[in-house]
Amino acid sequence: MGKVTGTTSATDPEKVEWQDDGQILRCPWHGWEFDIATGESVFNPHKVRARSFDTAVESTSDNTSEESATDGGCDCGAVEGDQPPVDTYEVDVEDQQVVVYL
Amino acid sequence: MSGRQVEQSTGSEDTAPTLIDCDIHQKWKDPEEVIAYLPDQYKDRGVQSPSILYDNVAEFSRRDAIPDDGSPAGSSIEKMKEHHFEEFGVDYAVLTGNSYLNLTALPNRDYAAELAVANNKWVIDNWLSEGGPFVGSLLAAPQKPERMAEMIRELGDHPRVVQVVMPMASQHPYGHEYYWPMYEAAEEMGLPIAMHPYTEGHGVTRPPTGAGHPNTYFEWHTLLGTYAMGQLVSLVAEGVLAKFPDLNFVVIEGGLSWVPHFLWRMDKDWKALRAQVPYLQKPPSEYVRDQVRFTTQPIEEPDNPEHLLQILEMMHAEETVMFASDYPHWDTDSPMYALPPMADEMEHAVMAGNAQELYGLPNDPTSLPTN
Repeated sequence: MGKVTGTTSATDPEKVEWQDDGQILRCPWHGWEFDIATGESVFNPHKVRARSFDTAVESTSDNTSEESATDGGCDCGAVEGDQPPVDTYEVDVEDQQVVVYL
Repeated sequence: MSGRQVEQSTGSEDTAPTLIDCDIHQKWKDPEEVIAYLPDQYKDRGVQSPSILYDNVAEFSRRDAIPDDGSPAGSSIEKMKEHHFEEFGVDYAVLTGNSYLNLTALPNRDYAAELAVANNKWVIDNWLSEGGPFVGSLLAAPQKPERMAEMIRELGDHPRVVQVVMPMASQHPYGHEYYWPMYEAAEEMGLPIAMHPYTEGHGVTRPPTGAGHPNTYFEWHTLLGTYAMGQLVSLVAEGVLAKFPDLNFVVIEGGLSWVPHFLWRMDKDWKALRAQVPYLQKPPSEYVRDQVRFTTQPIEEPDNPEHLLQILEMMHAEETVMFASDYPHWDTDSPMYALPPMADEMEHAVMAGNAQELYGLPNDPTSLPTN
């Protein structure tokens, strides 16, 4: 996951302002900046975009996580055995959960 | 390589210039000529500046450019005309002054500034007054920016003053806001600012290469372009080109084959590092393409001339490159043989068109007033 941050803007070299705090996602590889909501790059928003996914924050009282999780599975064969195929991390979600629709 | 044709007729009302030489060094016969223009408190000091520490075994000026009376190369208008202008059909000669002044090598800002002013008044009275092909530059001591701004406003409206020249070496990289009052004045007067090497590593300037002080003039001269890169990236990144959109810069005597490399690196890094320079509203290379011009000398000479042509195309030479000979210095480039054969349009742009546009020169040099 790239760093979620803000960025700067300026109309004059002597007046640089911090903006869009929490709205900018830096690519974890080269550090390019993208608008986290649209995937548009900051340096060339019309031509360079990151792939974006419909994303929602939903209450646990309306839990559809199991259903959603099956929607975006890759077609790369069943996983055999008990060990997960990639590194996994303990994640706790309290009250609300982030659902990414793939 | 075949040479280009010498145009026997210079520009006229109907004919655009075909050869504008953007780096011609004029010199005084005797420093007393300039001392006469110094304020009284500096007259005893005279013309005094840290000299170059690197010995050029090929000598700094061409022996064949020395006038018959033995006075310094570049000090005789008649010799210059006969030896260079008439020989090659130079329509305009952009005088870039005596780089031996090494103005930024001087630790005393006040003296450096007044020496610049004195030199410029001498140029106006003794060279630009000659008319003919001559247009000239105001030398600047940028370590005294407010005084230089005043000078630019005072002397910059002379019809044959076409630019300001700063030494390529400086105490701070030239993007620093310390220098901006001078840039503001130059933009206001419609004068490009050129940077010309010689001072690098001398007096109070920084080492002439990123690796430090080299051992020989051979190394010093090989790396002229690297100092230009340092100044240029500063002018772009500190927002000078963005803040002064009507101000142009000229890089003289840095060669040019490094320019594509430099532009590509800036644009690549800007994609990730844009947040450090958010006032740049377009890719950095576009500021350079729009506002910076490069003179050709000392042109690089690859074994295959086609390679140089490719580099000219990479840097949009039809917009960005202007011919310069550096006459009468030891590494003068020939207007006939220095550059590879080019398409007609690019050749005209490089040999005259880009300079005519940048400096706002009329077709007929004699139509420019001399005072």
